[in-house]
Amino acid sequence: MKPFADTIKTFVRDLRNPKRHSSKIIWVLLVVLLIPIIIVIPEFVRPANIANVLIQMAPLGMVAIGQTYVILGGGIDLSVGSQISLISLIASTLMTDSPLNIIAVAALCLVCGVLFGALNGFILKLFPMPPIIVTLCTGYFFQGIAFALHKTSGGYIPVALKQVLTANSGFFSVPFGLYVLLFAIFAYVLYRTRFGRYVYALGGNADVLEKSGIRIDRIKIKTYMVSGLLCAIVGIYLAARLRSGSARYGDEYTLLSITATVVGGTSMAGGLGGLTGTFAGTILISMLTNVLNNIAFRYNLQSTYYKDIITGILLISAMYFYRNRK
Amino acid sequence: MLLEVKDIVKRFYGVTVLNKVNLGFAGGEVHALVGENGAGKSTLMKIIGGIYHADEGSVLVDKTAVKISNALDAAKLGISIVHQEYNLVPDMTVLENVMLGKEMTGRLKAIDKESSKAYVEEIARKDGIKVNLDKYAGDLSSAEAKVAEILRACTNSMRLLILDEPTAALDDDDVASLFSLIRNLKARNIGVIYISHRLDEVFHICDKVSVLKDGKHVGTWETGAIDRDFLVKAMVGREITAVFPPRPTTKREGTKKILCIEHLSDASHFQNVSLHVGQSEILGIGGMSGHGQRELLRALFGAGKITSGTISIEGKPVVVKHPADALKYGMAFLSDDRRNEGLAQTQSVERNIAYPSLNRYHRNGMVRTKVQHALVGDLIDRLGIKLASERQIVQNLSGGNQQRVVLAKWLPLNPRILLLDEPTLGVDVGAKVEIYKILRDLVSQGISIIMVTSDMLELLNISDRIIVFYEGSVSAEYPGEVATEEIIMAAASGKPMAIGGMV
Repeated sequence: MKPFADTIKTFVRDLRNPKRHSSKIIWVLLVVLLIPIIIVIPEFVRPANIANVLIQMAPLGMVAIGQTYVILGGGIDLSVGSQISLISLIASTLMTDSPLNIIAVAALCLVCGVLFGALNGFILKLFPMPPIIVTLCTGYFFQGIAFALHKTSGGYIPVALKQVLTANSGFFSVPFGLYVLLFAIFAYVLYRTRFGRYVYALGGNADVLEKSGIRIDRIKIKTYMVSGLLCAIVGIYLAARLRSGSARYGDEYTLLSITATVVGGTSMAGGLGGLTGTFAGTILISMLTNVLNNIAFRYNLQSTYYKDIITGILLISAMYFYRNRK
Repeated sequence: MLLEVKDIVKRFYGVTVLNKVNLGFAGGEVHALVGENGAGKSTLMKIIGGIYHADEGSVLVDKTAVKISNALDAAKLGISIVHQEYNLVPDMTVLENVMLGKEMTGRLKAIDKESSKAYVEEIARKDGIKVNLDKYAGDLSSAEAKVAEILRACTNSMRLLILDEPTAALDDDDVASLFSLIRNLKARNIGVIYISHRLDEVFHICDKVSVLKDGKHVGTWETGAIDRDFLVKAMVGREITAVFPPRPTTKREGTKKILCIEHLSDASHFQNVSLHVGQSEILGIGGMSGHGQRELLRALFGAGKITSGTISIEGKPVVVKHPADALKYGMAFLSDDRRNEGLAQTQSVERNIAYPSLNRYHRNGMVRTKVQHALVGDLIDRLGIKLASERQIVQNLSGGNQQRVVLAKWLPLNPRILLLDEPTLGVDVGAKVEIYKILRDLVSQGISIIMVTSDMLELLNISDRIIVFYEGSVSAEYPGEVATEEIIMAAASGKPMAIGGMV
């Protein structure tokens, strides 16, 4: 019994003084929240609902991977929502029923996503300014183009693409599978490769990295390219799911991806945190969204506003909570 | 010669910082580079390290002219710099920091931690470097951080190591282990350039010493052939006989106590501290850095949290929870972090001086610029601040002038108590003399001073009374006239000696 009590003591102490790269707290929070949720809304743990949550979290999870890369590198990407929207419209504008066309347009979208990210990175390289301003402006720029393409949602996405990208059976679904695959790849790159190491160093102390002979601009541009690529994937997925594109599809993902990253313990200053925390942050947000939708359905409420309020509160609390961490 | 610089000229905005400097550094030799602040030492090292580029002249390695355009070029030539400021990524381990930029990778481009560790451990063992490779850099003490940086340099097949003020933040034991490390490197025929303000160290560890003054090379000597006074004269260009103004001869006994603190504690840095300062008295607080004296001073100014104890000013108990309270009671504070806490760097001298007293000369919220201008002009004259114009941006001033600006901003408030944290940090000898004169002047006008300093000579020669801190408490108290370096050091390590019945 004693060693068990000691373990708990150390665990609690660690929670109060979070260590570097520790995402323990957010996992604890998840479990703690799960208990009242199960009591109040037993429907939450029904297999069908769980499968649903997994599908819902996939697009947010993918955007948050890119956002985590950018924030770890000491930046922030406020243009992710607009990038997603613009990609969804590029896809819906160009696609036809021909399989060759579908593949070509999808590939084009991915290339566009990478280029959008590269644009963010190059602007930051050429005109050193706070990334929060630069990406806010490029975000407006992307969204402006999107509105120019289509004032309302529109375009055409073949039903076949929707069927492929939204296929699911039991707990398995294509979006969640894709998310897990991407997560595995980018976690490997972040935790195991030199590039990943440089992303941490870039956010931790860019001066040291530069003096170690690394071209820090290139690392920074690459983080935004990662973000752009993932936005493109999400853009294609959302367009396929709704069989159209819209300049507003991506809107909510900007703040949600930042929240998932920061709630997961990645420092806004960069250099500290990681994808495991972001994974937990994504689960937390998706879980709360699902619960709110359930409650809203039960009492016949408009749920979207509550979701926005909760997201804002979550982000502020997380930033306050992590404020003193070295 | 391992490395030579020939006729190096460097100008910044038309100001010549280095003027035809010629120097040579050999392998297996520890070569000191000394000079006052602004003499050009750091600039020269940054040119060798590839951070700046010389306007004229050349750098030669093994008698061949080389072009060093960045830190990587320097590293390839075997030149490594350990900068004065902290240069590690705090949230990475020592191993990751050491291998940054040259990670070993294995299958699927994954970083091979085991091989890296074995490689670094081998180098550390060879050079006799002891450091925990798995610790996060942000958790290291300043001594460990220096060692980690030297270890990083050693992994670059280094031939020449440049150490810029390596001992600035180290205590005696750490300095000793750093020196034994330097001797190991020397035995391996690695050249060391040692930049330091501490002349004792120069004589202790260095074979040769070169002096720079105002961007010119004054001379190079074997350390065995010269003495300290000779070196100081070469650095300053004149003999400094009286750095410290004499103490006033009048007896201060029986003067009234201005500030009394009793049993003061904060959450973790100092406990149960009681002390007082009398009118027209300079109370020096010494001790190793990090023993709570700095936090005490900040707490007095309302910039730290006090958990128990009382503060009274002229007998009346006061509560200080915010710097605004402290100002109300006539306290003013000079931070050791002038850059961030003392001055608004991008603002003019005039504005900086005016900030604290703005509410003294406004009309319905509008600043009365004429009054402000006259006041500021008066203070600039009074403190001898050297300026092109009062509109000059503070950032570009020398350390000594900046410190005078900080002093000037408080004076219009007529403070009764000045709290000084490292008042001459980053200030060269000439300006130090001036600042000491100003402090004596202020005291003679009735102001009291509490001064925390790690500069032993300053503590011994400026203080009327000295208190030594050890582990967050007062370890000993001595009159300034009788204290010696030995006595202070003993008290600072928790073993105070009794002198003349005083402890």
